[in-house]
Amino acid sequence: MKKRQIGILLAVLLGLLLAGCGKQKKQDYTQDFYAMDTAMRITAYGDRARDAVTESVSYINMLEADISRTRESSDIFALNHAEGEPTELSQQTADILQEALELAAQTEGRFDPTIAPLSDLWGIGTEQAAVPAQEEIDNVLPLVDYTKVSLDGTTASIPAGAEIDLGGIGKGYAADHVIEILKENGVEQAVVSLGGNVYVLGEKEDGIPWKVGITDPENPGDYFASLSVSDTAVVTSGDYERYLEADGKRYCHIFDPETGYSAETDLRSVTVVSSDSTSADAYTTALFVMGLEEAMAFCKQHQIEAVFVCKDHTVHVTDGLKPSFELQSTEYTYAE
Amino acid sequence: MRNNTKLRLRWGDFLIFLAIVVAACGIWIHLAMLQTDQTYGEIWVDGELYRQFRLDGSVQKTIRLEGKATEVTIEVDATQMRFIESQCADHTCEQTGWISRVGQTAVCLPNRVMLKITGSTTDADAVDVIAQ
Repeated sequence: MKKRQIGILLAVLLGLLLAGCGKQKKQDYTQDFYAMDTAMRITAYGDRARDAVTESVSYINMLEADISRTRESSDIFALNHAEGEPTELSQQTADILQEALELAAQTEGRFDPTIAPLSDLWGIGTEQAAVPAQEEIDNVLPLVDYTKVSLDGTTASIPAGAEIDLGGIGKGYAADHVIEILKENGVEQAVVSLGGNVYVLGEKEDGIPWKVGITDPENPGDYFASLSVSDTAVVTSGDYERYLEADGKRYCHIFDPETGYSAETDLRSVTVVSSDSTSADAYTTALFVMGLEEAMAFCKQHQIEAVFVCKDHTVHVTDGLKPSFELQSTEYTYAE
Repeated sequence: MRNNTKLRLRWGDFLIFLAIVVAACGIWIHLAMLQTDQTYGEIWVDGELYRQFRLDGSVQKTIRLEGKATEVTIEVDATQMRFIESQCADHTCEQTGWISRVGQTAVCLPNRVMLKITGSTTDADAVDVIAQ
């Protein structure tokens, strides 16, 4: 073989070698696990992804140990069984309770962390689920009132019979802290899904955002639209998650603290997009209870970005989300 | 002095060009195959992979298995899968319906059984995660 041919061959081999290199894929680590009564998944990218995810899972388990309603060793169990006496909470439990109370005040009780006696009465998601008698609802409703919760530093008290349930904010709070843990471990890209409460960290690739699907209320296994977003939480609540069907009606698991019944508005689901997952979690509940008109006004007043799916299959999107929103199903109409 | 002799291609050069074309075609075919949709349906029980099916239209199965609390029944049908029945209290998994697109999941929480669609997709509508 002549020198020139060897030269050409080497050039081609070098070209092929370089073409094969491309951009080196970042190391990723995924963990699926169950916590807070739901299925969770964390995927992180980077050299320390495994350590970061492991630490995040430990954190969630520790948080659950503090705020679980059913674990006898938890702060919240102690508070709920203190018969009105003051209870000392961990700093973390006090912090999350404080946030819950502030969000309850901001939403004028549409999100209320004292909803538990009412949700227990209905029992949606259990074998005992049934529509209660009006008298039973009337007996329980006075216990649902966040203004009767006292929190002074880490000491809390609630009226005897009342109960705190931080389930409506717990996964959001957990997601915010998981993101902090991931960042502290040098992770710049991650997808966190805590029971469908999503937080995406960084971008999918340079200049390319993550694509987050929004559950189709008519077909909860599928998604009807997507949002192209980065560094944000995407939280959805809807009437399809857990519900009771009785007398030809659907009673969903989101309750209106005013009436004591399942929230019955023109909405099927609410999705909130925010860098603060804790408040996004509470807002989805509150906005669902409000109904479209009041919810849109509330979003405008508080600069909240959201997607609303109505019972008539129209989809309403706040202005800030319109560029990143993509409707994928022909079953729905985009209300411009 | 400048050499004005023209460089002429020789038979060996043509062989190398042919080799380049063949290599390029090979790489192109390989990449094209990688981009082809390969969708799998997975059944996970308490965090462990229980079964995996290639959802290429050839599988038709009904699977009964013991979850953490009770028995669940799962149907795999061609390119999709779903929970048919669970003996658990909330039956949320049954209400989830069919799943078929990469990234979709269905969960029976009391039994800790999860159905997942995994694999690669060229679907422009595919998402990275679903807010539920």
